Parts: sequence; C-alpha cells; structure tokens
Amino acid sequence: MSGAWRLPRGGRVDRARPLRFSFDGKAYTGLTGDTLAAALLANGVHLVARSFKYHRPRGILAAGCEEPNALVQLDRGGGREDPNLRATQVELFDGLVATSQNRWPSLSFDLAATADRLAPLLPAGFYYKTFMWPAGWWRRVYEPRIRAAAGLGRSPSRPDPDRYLHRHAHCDVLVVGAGPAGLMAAAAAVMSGARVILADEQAEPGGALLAEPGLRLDGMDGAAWLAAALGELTAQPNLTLLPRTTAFAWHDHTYLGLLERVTDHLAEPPPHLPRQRLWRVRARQVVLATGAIERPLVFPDNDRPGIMLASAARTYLNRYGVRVGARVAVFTNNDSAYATALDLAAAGVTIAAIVDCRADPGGELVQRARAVGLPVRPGAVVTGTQGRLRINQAFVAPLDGGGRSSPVVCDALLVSGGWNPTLHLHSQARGRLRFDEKLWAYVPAELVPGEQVAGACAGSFALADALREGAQAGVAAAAAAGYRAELPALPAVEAPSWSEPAPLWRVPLGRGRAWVDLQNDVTAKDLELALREGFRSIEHVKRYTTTGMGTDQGKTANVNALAIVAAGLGQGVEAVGHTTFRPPYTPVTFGAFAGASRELQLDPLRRTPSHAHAEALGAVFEDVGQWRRARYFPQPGEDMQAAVGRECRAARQGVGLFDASTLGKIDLQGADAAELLNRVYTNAWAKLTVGRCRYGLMLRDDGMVLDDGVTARLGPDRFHMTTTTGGAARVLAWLEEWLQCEWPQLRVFCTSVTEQWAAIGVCGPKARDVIRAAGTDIDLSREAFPHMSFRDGSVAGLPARVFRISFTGEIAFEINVPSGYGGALWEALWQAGQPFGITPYGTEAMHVLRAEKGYIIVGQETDGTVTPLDLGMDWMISKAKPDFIGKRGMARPDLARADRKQLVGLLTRDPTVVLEEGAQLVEDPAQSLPMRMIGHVTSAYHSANLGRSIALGLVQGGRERIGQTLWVPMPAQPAIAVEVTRPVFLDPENRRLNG
Amino acid sequence: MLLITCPWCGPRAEIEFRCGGEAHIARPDPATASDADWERYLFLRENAKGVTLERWWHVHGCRRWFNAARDTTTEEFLAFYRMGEPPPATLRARLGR
Amino acid sequence: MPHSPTASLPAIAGAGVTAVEAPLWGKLVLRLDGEARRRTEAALHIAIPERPLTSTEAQVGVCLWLGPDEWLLVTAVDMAGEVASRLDAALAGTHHAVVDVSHRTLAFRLAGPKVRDALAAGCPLDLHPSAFPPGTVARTLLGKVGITLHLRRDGSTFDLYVDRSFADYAWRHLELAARELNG
Repeated sequence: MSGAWRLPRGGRVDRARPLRFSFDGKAYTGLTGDTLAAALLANGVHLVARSFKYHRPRGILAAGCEEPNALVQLDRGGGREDPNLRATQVELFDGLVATSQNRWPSLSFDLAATADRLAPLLPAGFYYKTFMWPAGWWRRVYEPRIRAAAGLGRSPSRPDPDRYLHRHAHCDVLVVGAGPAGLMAAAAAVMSGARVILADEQAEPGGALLAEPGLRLDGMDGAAWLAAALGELTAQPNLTLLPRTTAFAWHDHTYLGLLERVTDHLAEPPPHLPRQRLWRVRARQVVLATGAIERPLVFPDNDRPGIMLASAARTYLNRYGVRVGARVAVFTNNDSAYATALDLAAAGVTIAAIVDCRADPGGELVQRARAVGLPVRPGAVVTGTQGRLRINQAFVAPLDGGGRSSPVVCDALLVSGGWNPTLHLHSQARGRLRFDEKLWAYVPAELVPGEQVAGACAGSFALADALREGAQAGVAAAAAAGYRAELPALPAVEAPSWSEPAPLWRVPLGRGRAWVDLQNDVTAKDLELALREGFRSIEHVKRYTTTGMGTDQGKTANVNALAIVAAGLGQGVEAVGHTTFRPPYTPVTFGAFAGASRELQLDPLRRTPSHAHAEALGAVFEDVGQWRRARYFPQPGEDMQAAVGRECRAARQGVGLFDASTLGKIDLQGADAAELLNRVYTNAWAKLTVGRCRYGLMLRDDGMVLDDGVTARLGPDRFHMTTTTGGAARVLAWLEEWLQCEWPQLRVFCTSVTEQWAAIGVCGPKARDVIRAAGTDIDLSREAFPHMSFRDGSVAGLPARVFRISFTGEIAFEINVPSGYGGALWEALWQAGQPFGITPYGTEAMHVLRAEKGYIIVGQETDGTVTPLDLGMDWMISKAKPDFIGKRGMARPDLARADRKQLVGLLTRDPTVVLEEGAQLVEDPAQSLPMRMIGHVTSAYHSANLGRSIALGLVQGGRERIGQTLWVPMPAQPAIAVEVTRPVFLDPENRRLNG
Repeated sequence: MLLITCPWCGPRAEIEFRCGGEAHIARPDPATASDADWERYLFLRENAKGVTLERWWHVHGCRRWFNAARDTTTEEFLAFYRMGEPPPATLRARLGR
Repeated sequence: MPHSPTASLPAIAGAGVTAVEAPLWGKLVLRLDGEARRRTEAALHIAIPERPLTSTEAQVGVCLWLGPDEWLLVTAVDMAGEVASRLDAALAGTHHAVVDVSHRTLAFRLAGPKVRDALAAGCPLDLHPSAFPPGTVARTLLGKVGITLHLRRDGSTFDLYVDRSFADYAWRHLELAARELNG
C-alpha cells in the first residue's frame, strides 16, 4: 500500500508501480506519478519543515511551484545534492532520499524553535538594530553564530558530476503553459504552419485539466479530451513539446530562458543524457498561458501543518488520489473552494465546515454544496487555530465581530483568498499590471510587443473563456509572425461557473501572529511595523521586511502584503504599486547556466605548436589569457629560481629555444599600408626598406600606450605587423575600427595571421650554429643578415620566414613556419641543438632577459595610464609626422607634468632581495600612515646573469631621482631600501645584438 | 539578449556584437583642436535617456561596423544604417532635431 | 605531416551526428574591390558571391562570403600557394589582398540527422532549413569561439571552420552535445 491516505481508485498515478523512498531516514512507499509532496501526504506526513526564522513547524501548503514551506534536501548519490527543492515539484522515483531542512536535531523536536519564543525580540529588520555592540564581538561571536543559523538547506560539498547543456532555439510562436488555453493557442498556431514550441513546467501537459474531474469538453471527460488534443498536437512536425520545462526568464526582444529537467525524475539517468538543458529561445511571438496561483488567507496562526490551499487539496485528491485529512474545514472568500469541498465529500472526507466570509454567497458551487448537505457558515471567518505539529482545531467567529468564536475540530484547514494570475514573465518583459477590483487581482494592463495572454493569467478563470482566448491568442501570434491562421473549432464546455470573490486581505479578529510570507516568516504585524517606522515605498517595505524575497519570490505572499500595506497607508492597492519581478521564475541550478562551460571548457584553452614537446620536456606551464605557455623547464631537483637562472644563463652564453607563436601577427596589404602604419604608430614608416623590420609603439588617442611590436616590410604595399600576445585581437579590432569608421578612404586590408605561423625563437651566441645544423638555405652571417631584417627560405626542410629580431638583447632569430609544422620545427631545432647545449626557456626567463635590457612589456610596465614620455621613449616619437593616433592626446597638460611617474630601474641594497611586483615606493619609511606613495614596482626578478635582483618601476619624477635611495614598505618586515637607476642593467650599448 | 540587425548579415544575437558607444563623433582636427575639444572627443558622451545613436561592431560575424538608433528606456531598436551614413530621415522626429 | 589538434580527442561518431577533421585544405582570404573581383572570377573561373551569406562552387573549390569585401576561397590540399600565385599575377594593380590561411584555419566536416541539434548546443543561429538553406555560410559563435559555418549544397553536410588554437575547444563542445544525440 502506498499510504493510508491513498484512495483505492482515482488520480493519474499508477498503483501497479509503487516506488520506495525515504524522508528523514524513514522508509515510505509512493506511486509512479507522485510528487514527493503527494507521496508524503499519502502516508499522512504533514510536518515537513521548520520555518526560516522562527523554526515553526510547517506543512505542505500548495501542490505546485508556489510552495513556500516544504523545502527539502535531495541526495541523488555520487555528490549530487540539491538543497531547497520544493517537495511539490520533486517527481518521485524509486530510491529517492530526501531530508527536511533547517532543524536540529529533528523535525518534531527542533532546539532552534526557541527562536519562536523570542519572537517579540526578533521582528522584521531586527538585525538592523542589534549585534552592534561590543564591536569586537561581531567577528568573533555574532557573525559565526548567525552564519551557522542562517540559510535553509546545505550547499553541496562535492563537485557536481552531472552534465548540462544549452540549446539555442528559434520559433515563430512560443506558448508558455500547456493547460487548456495554451493547448488551444498551440493548436491554432501550429495549424498555420508556424514553428511552435509549447512548454509546460509539469511532467504532464494539461494544467488545470489534470485536477478537474467534472469537466466535459465536446462530450468527453477532461482526461479523454486532453489525450486526444495532445495526440493531434504532437503529430505535427512543426511543434516541439517540452514538458518538465519551466520558462523562467523573459529577456529583451522576446528572448526567453527555459529550463528543461531531463533526468531529474529518473532513478538511474542514462549516462548519455544531460541532467538539465537550458533552452535559449528567440521567439517571434510569445503566448502566456501560465494560469493563476491561489492566495491563502491571512489570519492568526494560519501557518500550521495541515493548513493548505483549497485547490492544492483538490489536486492531491484528483490527481494523486490522496486525502489530505479525515475531517476537513474550509475557509474561503470565493466560490472555487467549494469545488474542493464537493470533491472531498464525494471521496468520503468529512467536511467540518465551510467558513465563507461573504454574508450571502450564492454561486452555482455554493448551491451544490448546500444541496448535498455540506455545512456552509456565511459571514464568518477563522480567527485562530490550534495544534503544534498538526492543526487540530480552527476557531470560527462572525466577521462583523458580533459573536464569540467557536471551535471546529479538523485535521486540515483548506483556505482560499482568491486567485492571482501568474504574470511574472509579463512583468519581466516590462509589462505593466492593473489591479482589477472585480477579480481583486492584478491583470495585465497592456501587452508588450510580441506578447499574447490567454486564460487565467489574463484574469479569465472560466474554462470556456480560457479555451477561446487561447485559440485567439494562437491565431494572433501566428498572424503577427507572418502566417495565415484560422480560429480552430472550440470544444463545447460543461463546467461550473464562479461568482466574484470578496476582498479579505486580513482577518480583523483574533489574537496571534498572522503570517503573510511563510517562507521568510513575515507577519502582518511586521508590515505594520515597517509603516510605523516610516517606510512608505513598497520597495522599501519589501526589503525591510524581506517579504517576497525568499526562493518562492513570494508567490503566495505578495498580493496579500501589498493589500495590507495599502490598508495601512489608507490607499487603494493599485496606488501602492508593486515591486518588479526578476528572473528566474523558479530557482535554476548553476549547472544549467554554466552548460558546457566548465572545467576544461570553461574558456578556450589555447595551446602553442610546441606544447606537446614542452610537456615531454617537463615544462611547468602558466596561463597567459587563454593561452597556456611554458613558464620554465625544470630539470630534476630544480625549483623555479634554479631553472630560470639556468635558462637565462644559457640564453646569453649558449643558445636558448623559445616558442613565440602566441604573439599577434597581422598581414597588411594595400597602397595605403604604410600610411596606416604612420597613423597608428608613433614613429615613421614610409621609408622602411623592403626586407627590414622596425619596432613600433602604438598609442590610444588619449596619448596612452596601447601596444607595441616589430613590423616588417614584405613589399612596397605589404607589411607583417606583430603585436603582444594579449593585444593580438585588440590591435586588429583597433585597425578595423579606424579604417571602417574614420578612414574609409585608405586602401589597405588587414588580415589576422597569428595562427597561420608558428614562431620559434633561437637566441644566444650559438644560435646560428643550431639553425645551420638543422639545415637552412639562408645565409645567416652578420653581413648577409643584419639585425632587424628578415629572409625567406627553408629551415629543417620547412618553408620559413626568419626574422632577426631580439627581445633578449642577444643575437636571435625568430623562425616562422606554417603553424601545422611548428611542432616539427621545434623538434628539429631541439635535436640539432643538442651538441650546442640548446636550452628551452619559458615565459619566466623571457621576462627576466628583457628586463635586464630594460625592454618594456605592455601591460606590465604600462597599465593604460602610461605615455611614451613616461617610459623615456621620446626617441620613438616622430617630430615630423603632422598627426598620428595619440599625438594630440600627449599634448594635454596633464600628460606633460613634471611629476608624472617615469620608468626607472630599482636595485635593492640587499642584492638577494627580490621586490614584489606592485609594491609601493616611498621617500621616508618612517612617515606616519597614510604614507605618501610616489611610485610602484612593475617588474622584479632575480637575475642569474647579473648575480643579483633587478626591478623596474614607475616613480614620480623618476629620471630626476637617479642615484637616490627610496624605500619599499612591506607588511611585517622592515622597509626595503632601493637605489633608483637607469632602466637598463646589461649591455646598454647593445653590443651583443650586433654580432 | 538583444536582437540586432546587421545591415549585411540580418538579425543576430547580441553576443555576436560589441557596442562601440555613441555614433557620429567627429574626430576634431588635431592641429586646431583646443584641449576642451579634445577632451570632449575623448571622454564626454551624451548618455541619452531615450533614443540614442550608437555604433555596433559585428565582431563574430562579418566584422563590419554599423550604426543603430536604440531607445535606452525600452531597448527598442528604431533603425540600423551603415557606417558613414547619416541617421535615416524618419528618425528626426524621435531625435528631436 | 601537419599537426592535427583533434587527433587525440574523443571521436564524434554515431547515428545522430558525426564529425571528422578535414584534411588541411588550401584556404585563402580574399579582400577584393570591384575590379579585383572581376579579375578573380576570370582567373579562377568561379563566381565571387555578392549576396551576403552565400557561397559558390567551381572546379577550383568553394568561395564563401565573409563580408562585403571579404571571401574565403577553399581549395584542395596544398593548392593554396598555386592559386595565390595565379591571383597575384591577375590582380596586379588592383586594390586587393590575398592571404594564405591554410594553416591558420582548420575545418570539421559534420553530418548526420541530428547535426543541427549538436550545433544548437553552442551556436545562436537559426539553422532550420527555412532560415539556413543549402549553400548558406555564416560567421558566428560556437560557445565562446568564432567559427565559420557552411552548409554544403546537399543540405545535410556542414563544414565548420575554426582557427587552430580554438579547434580543441570547438571539437569538445560538439562532442559534449553529441553524446546525447548518438545515444
């Protein structure tokens, strides 16, 4: 048996397929088709949670996503833990393991419930007025304790092993909600030939039809009509049906996010399926058929386990075959709760009373209830309840206050305060709402572009209206998307009618706390407190009291809260306004948002042509933007300093091998290529000879350094520009922007060839020996191949362009081959270099070697606020060119100040001390705080070639300070003394380069 | 996720583009521009509430720059037009010029 | 033999979608103004597609529209140099650029009844046949990397072009999406 409260027949569950599950360690049985909430209720379990703040015992309020109380923790094994799931939306599977949250040691005995007795000290916003004294206690006492007590579920402690995918989708019409309105909309749109996506958050489409037994459509009962309609729809190739899929976000230009729960309902998900899929849908038109959510009533002690929404009880009965109680009371301000009472009575549940606040309720359902002898008590309200872990009594009194309250024994109290159209997506789309004083609910004020609404979410609660509006919306949407659509035949409907609700935002009688937001434990008194304390805007009241700020977004709280605030301010509900709905409509896992972007795929991992070879040589890698580059090549027993020291010595005394492929390369062709270079670089380019290279410095138009690199002239109208690694894409974008937007008349084309060429550098006194040993037809001699030139030919049997350029200050050749052969080139040079002691070096040694020469690295010595003059590079600035990007910018007074930071070298008094990059410099280390900082360290290394540490920095008026001693204060140690020097430490005349 | 109509490629998702800020900013003649002119060109922007004219770059598409008119309060695009072209005449009323 | 970035990556094969790294076809970026375009058509006997997002095919290979003055010419393996030389001769004096990117850009050939679903896991384009008919070419994104996507004339084979160092990421993105589609 699947629970003592399960009816032997009825519902859409499968009694032939029972499921085992556990809750708080206790084993239960449920049925296939159950939600966890339904299965718990079938077993008579109502106490499922402790409330957030006061740890009050709580039960299941609802049957859908609006559930505020029944949040559970699910453990699917293997590290798959999910906190804060609504038991009403967890599909039961065999072996499901769920636990309640926020209670210790157990649900029925929770020590933290003392908070409930301290409630008068803990009203809304109490934390703004407490925990301030003494100051030291905040970090040591208050915060750790509050942190431990706060929150509901437990965060997962292990990496998420599930996979998630995204799906970009396009459609003409997206229909949200597959209830009667949505089904008709989809049918109308799909028949027109439009591409239609129909999404529903439930496992089964059908919406309200799933819980209404008494309907007849075209003479069939609701279930049969539904099956037939679905059969027809899903046969259409231009329809995509997405069950278990919540549309949780409406973004600009009808772009919606949908979350599909692919395998959450499976005990053993097939490994080839993703757990969830995030649909990123661009629709032309959207039809909202999202239904409505019932409101609870606000009265003292309205939060006990067993107090449920009337429609939820009906759903549990009709959909899951579950009785929520044996002796049930109903409290309502409208007709819909009578349908619940009638269905329960027909299933053998005793109806203890139907308490209706309306003095003279007379609708069709009320008459039927009276006709079967159900006890209707008009003009009455519930003023309180009793029962700590389960309701056992409700107190009923006349609404007009003219009478005492009398107890009604019950084990469930079903409440209905009316219905709220579900308009979150409409509101996210910036759609405005209008408060309707016949429905006593918010309805759409006007539609946003691309939107249609139909059915209960538009305020039309009658089935016939929902069907008709759905069909009309489908036609309108298809037509707006450019299709010829016809209204389909509407089914003939037999369904009871409703009369209007009476507004009852808060029962004015009784004593005790009346709960408005169950999830965040906000009472009516809290709302009044906010008003007393002077808050007027609903935005402030919401945030001060935290109403509607829980994971349920206040689905069962917001409108009641607005109305109570309106009453408190003496205004109409509409005048108070409402806060803005934000995505997601219901919580979405991080995994779904991440999709495939995790671990290795978090960001593209770009590897160089020599990567595998570097790995084989034991390289330690570092990430430079998206590139993974070899940082150093330690030999056994070497730490980084030892390895880098050896690599630096080899590069200057023997021969080093370096992969420079990541630097940007841009091909420029056209009659105005040289003119473009003149405009983007600070120096002059027109006269560069074919076959020669020149260093270029690129500025932004505000005069700040943007990038640098060596550019070679391949022909009269053709250049090969190089950039920094990080600047490759940026510089190409820069050139394109200027050419397309500012200088469209210049005839030059730019094409990225960064990845067309692998670039392997060979540097040091034995560089020529190695290249010759590898085999080349290029004359490498000093006379035939001067520094800053290039030659085409072959190296190691590969077609090559060899540049004689150097970033180390040694003789160096950068051999460019088509990138598919980069690995082969590296290998050939490595082999050929063995007799010469060839030493691969990485980015760390490269940094040290160039710093020894005082060569800047853009992004290290510069940060977007540094000019060429700051760097001491006025020799790079052409005096003759009338204009180049940055020339006018540099003339601004602020860029010519004498006290600007200037590039200098820094030598520590103690040569073994390596400064920290970013450390600040001061004149007087003994000054009081805050110290006057006059500069910072941009690069710092131990230099094996010099046998001591070196550093570069930017210091105010640096060039005037050469020879001075400055200080680098550091935490927890004495300040470090440094001498300011010129920013070059080795071979200042560049003799080594010209060998 | 805006839907942006590239004049060559047609409507595409916003992630294929990069916004280039305010459109129709003429680079002053560097020889004659005052510091205030240059500052305005470099740093000062209208940031209109309402219809704004801006540049977009189809970086992950055809890599062309173009202009667009967008209402910053509603995200509605009113026009797309090629780089170098003036705003369409139909916009003048909305731009208040 | 040029290095293949996907050789050691998990295969994408099955009833739903297959992917194969193509041989290193010759690839030339063509930047052409009006006169250069006419001369290119004459020299290579291929129409240079003027309508955006379209392609043409001829004996020399396929020509893919990338921008109003930019095309990608894809020829047989090792043919790029020869075609480029022919063009250099033919285009002398015109405003043009011909850039060999045979090694810069790699290609995957994708096929299978579920190939569009695999691409949709990371590509924001509408690939429905009504929106992306055979012969269509588009530069777009796959996840975080730029790609060029070309639907061949058979209407079911896609050529996906991606730059070399992004090939690993693009392949893995497809493979993650393909697992579900290949069962």
